[in-house]
Amino acid sequence: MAVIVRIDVELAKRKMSVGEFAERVGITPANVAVLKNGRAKAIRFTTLDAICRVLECQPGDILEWVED
Amino acid sequence: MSESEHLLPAEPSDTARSRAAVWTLRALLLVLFAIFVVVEVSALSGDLVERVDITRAVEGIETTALTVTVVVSLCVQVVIVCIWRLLGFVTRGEIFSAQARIWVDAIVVVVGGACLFLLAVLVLALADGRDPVWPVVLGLAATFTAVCALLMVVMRALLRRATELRTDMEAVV
Repeated sequence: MAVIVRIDVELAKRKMSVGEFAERVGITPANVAVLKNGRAKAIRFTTLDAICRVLECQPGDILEWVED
Repeated sequence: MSESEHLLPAEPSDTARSRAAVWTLRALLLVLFAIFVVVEVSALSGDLVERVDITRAVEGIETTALTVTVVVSLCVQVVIVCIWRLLGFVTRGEIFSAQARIWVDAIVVVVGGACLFLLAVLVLALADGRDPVWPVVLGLAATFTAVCALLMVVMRALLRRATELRTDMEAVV
């Protein structure tokens, strides 16, 4: 998967735990793990919207494309 | 946001209606199963022959007719059991699984088998040529079971597709 989701940095900046992040975004901690280790095949825009709202960032701040 | 809310959110009335349908169906299946048990018992005990007026039937048709009745009754009962199990999957929300598809396959096999059985008896009855009505009855029954079998084949394909879609959606965060 060439798209990496970098939420660790943003979580650390806000000193937010994975559990709190998951609850505020409305996904399970398991799904957060799936996002973090690149196993997610797709993400809903509603989820992305919630993530950006909670982390107060832009999609580009957490999404990065790398060459396979 | 729970997973089920992302998938087409069901209206409360939808869920209530389908639950009512499932339980009504279960009750009717029980009644139907019981009816066929009675049919089988009376067929095997010789009661059926006396009750149904087969005076116009040619000798020998009786045994075949009874065999067909018992075999068809058994097939119907097996299908009822399969449907019952599938309803169990539905109520537990596990209908989109490989295990559920096994029971659908079973229905297809049993109904298809019943159809082939009826066709075989039909061929024998036509070759026999004594009673004119019996082949018509068999032909109707064979057509009906063929329609049911093919309908189940279509349903199976739909279930497979729905399972694929559900699996895809579960991989979406």
